[in-house]
Amino acid sequence: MSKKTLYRCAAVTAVFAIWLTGSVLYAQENVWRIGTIMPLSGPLAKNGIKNFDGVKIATDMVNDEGGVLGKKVVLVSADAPDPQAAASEANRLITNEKVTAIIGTQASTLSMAATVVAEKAQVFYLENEGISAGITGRGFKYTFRTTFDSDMMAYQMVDFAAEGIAPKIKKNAKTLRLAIVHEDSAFGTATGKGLTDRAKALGLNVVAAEVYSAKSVDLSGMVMKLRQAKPDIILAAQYINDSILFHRQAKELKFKAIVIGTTAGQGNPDFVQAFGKDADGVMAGGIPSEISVERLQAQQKKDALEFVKRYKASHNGEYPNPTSFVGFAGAWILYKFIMPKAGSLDAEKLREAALSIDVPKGKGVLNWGIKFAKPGEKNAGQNLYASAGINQWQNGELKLIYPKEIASSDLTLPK
Amino acid sequence: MDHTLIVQLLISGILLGGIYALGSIGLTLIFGVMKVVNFAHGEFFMLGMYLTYWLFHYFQIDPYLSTLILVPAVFLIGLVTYYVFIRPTIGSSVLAQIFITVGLSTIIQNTVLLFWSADFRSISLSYATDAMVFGPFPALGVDEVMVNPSRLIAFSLAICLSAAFYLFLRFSYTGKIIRATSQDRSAALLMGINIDKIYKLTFAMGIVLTGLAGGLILPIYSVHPFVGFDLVLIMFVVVVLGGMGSVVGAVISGLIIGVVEVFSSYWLGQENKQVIYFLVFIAVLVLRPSGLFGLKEEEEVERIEAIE
Amino acid sequence: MKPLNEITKGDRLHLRFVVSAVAVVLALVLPLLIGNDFYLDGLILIFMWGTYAAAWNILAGYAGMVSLGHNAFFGIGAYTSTLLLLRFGLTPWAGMLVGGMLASCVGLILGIVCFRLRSHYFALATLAFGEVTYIVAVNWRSLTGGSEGLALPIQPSFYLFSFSSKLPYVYIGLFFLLTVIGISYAIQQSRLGYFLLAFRENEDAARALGVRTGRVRLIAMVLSSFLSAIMGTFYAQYAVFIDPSSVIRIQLSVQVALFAIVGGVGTVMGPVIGAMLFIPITIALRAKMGTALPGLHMIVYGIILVLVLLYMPQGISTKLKEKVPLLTKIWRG
Repeated sequence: MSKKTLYRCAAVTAVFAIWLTGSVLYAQENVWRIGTIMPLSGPLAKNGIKNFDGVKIATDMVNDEGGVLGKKVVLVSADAPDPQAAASEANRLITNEKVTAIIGTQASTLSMAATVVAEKAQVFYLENEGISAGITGRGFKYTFRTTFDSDMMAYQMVDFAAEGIAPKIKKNAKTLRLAIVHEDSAFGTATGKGLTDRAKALGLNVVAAEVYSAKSVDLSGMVMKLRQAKPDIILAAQYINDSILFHRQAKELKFKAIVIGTTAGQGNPDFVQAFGKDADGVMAGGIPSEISVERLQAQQKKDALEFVKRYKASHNGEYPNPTSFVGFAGAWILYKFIMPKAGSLDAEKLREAALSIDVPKGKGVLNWGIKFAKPGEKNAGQNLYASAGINQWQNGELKLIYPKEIASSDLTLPK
Repeated sequence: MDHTLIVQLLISGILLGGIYALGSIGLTLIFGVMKVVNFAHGEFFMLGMYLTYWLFHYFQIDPYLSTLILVPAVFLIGLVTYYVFIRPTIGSSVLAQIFITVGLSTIIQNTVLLFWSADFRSISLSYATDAMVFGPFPALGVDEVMVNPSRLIAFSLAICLSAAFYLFLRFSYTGKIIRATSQDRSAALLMGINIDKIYKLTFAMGIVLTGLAGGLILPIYSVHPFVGFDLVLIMFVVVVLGGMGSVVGAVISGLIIGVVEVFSSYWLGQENKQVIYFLVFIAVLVLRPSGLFGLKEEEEVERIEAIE
Repeated sequence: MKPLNEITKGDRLHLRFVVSAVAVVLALVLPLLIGNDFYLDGLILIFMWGTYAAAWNILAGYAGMVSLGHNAFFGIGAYTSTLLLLRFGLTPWAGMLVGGMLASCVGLILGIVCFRLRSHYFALATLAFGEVTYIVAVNWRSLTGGSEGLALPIQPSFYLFSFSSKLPYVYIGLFFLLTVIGISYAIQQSRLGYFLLAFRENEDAARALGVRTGRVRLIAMVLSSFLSAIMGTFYAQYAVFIDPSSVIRIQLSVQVALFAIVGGVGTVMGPVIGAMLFIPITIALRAKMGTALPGLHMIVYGIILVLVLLYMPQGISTKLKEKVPLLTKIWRG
């Protein structure tokens, strides 16, 4: 390297360094600045990006109506590919960007790390999708979850298996054979726990329980074990990649059972892309997808239709991913219910506002209501009026089949 | 014990091993000849999967047919990678070389994420994903057993490719030069061998084999920008277990790992299977540090010193 | 000022002392002047990763054993102190030492088992070991809480090694960083350092000269794993939440090795320089372009990494010494 090139390199590096370290000046003071933390790169990016899309559309919608209390909302967003990054970015948003309210984090693992930072700094944290029961199980003061938690979802899956499906396959609680399968990250572990607890409480017969890593390259040993156990219904907490692998290997080994997965796995559009017609009949618990918008109440219906319209416009006419729905719902609850009541982004005020809200089911967003569990309760900060649903692939479309009030279709069992 | 079950697990294990073997041949070649631990191996695998996917998606080209387009394309990618990332580091620090491939892996993953999004993409081919049923074989006490066509193809190709490579390295002139270079770089240089050319060829061939393996497993696995990382760890295990640079070793150890994995996941639980094969791996290394089919330790040391 | 070639040994020692003292004083005073928690957080991460990388370097740089299993030691440290605190109420200050000792024992066993392996084989065997540790932590749910992780109490208290301000963490991190730099320097100057160096350069010759290579390597392994585990505890106390994917991910090993290699393997300051450069780059890139286009910041990061390694394969500190002769004059004759 000659001296000249060395100087050039030094100059480029210096400019680069100044650009990187220089902080941005915020001229517009008259806006609501809200932080977001989502995995936009890394292995969780798929759902992180989709969730963020939902949040962005909610923000655009509220800004087009003139903002919240006359001020526009500006998102200060951050990328959190892994838990260490999530913690570090939460810290950056709080200390450098000076935000006092954060929407996050899509994945339970990331949420666990980021919410701790917010709690320590006394910043309002709104979790819109991470469902692990542990997130609200730690008695945090400033962490609120708008969506259902893993227990709510898991209980519903088990209940539906026992009450909705069993009679149709001529089984009762005694003769029904259940299998529980879950991946081993925070999401799968928490959901698996909920499934097991509920099955035990109802006295159901669990004939197999399998845990595996979502990074697995092969699941044939597990599929064989399940095949030997002969379950009628498999309850599965899986991510996309492993749910595709699981169903493929089941097919390779000619193993058939009724599967209720979750919207993190089986309910993802990528699942139907992989299986085409073979996906029909597979169920996914969790986020109510293709909510029969018609059956929502007037205001909620209008909001949901507007969201769907905007999502389709920016995504080549695709129907919103379930993840985008909860992303939207979380942000909407903050903009439409919590912030107007708090009148400020002060964490303490937001917290008080959130705790004082009591919107009955159906009057919030989608078919949800809003009522957060009070401090001291087992699930402090959890939205008790959020609800999960059971979806099913029918002719290549994900239809909501449960709960009945908002279902867009009925359960159909493969012959 | 249930015979059908054992036979079925054995078949599943061997077919899985076939995929591991197929994915490892390219890695062991680059490892053995150039002593480059290629952490971007999984990313080339992923690129092979993506290319095959796009060919299917846009032109409806059957994944097995599209290998004809895939091979030259990946060869080109391999050459470019060699000139930009690998060649400048030959003869410099081994560690820098390894971590350049780490950087390369980050660049490839995220470039793919940027352009092709994080969607999980798969193709659905009924003939490739159905089960072929064999049996029953009453004489053996075995009921019906299932074989998946895509896996069978991957397995057969792994065997054929490794046999072809073995013969190529053993008997062809170029093959002999490659082996000579891998055994002693300095001596090969003194004999007038164009090391640069051999490295270039080896690297591109290794990448072709890897990309090809990626294309061939697309009917079984879905592809996303980070798929490489899930696969690459196990392939390192396979390569080291087989002995770095030994193509035949890679195939045999691939099959061993496949069978161990399937059986241990059945009996000891899916969550523990990796512990089992990693422990097997460490144990084999400790007892036989150069792998099952590698050169003896002394030779190995000389080889590494010659490079350093 | 005397021309460079006339600097005597006495001057050199003197200069060395002055430069080091200035650096230490600067490091002590700077955090007080910054006053912005964001930059302090960056500083804490630099100190933590610098220490961790320097610990890794004791094994790789001086003994020539490139480990890719150091995530296991970091994790053992984090989990030991945290579990002792949560189950038995033991202060993390003591838990940290227990974790360090446990990691040393594990390191010692791993060392005895794997030291026959050379070069790539050792790296990959340790990689497998790190991965096994991760899987065990995920699946041993009754002990570790599995992937749902363990939350530490967040009330500030010295006994709990938990502070509401970031400054104490900065100084604790700095203390460990200075300690590990001191240890590295001492190793480099001592008989042990010469033994390790001899061993790294040519094992057979070293053995022929009577260096007890096995023991020397094991000492390096024990020291290195001990210090890595300490950093595990430090991270746990700072983040107040641990799970296998934040403290035993295989990527931690790759990253720690990367900092050391970029900075200069086998040098005292190299690993620290690597962390000092790459931590801010990571944070800044993610902040500036993390959400512009998905993955863009990682592409730029990868390109920077590749460029640095292409132009400085021996590391930044080695390059610096070449380009700025004064540094060499001060540190090495």
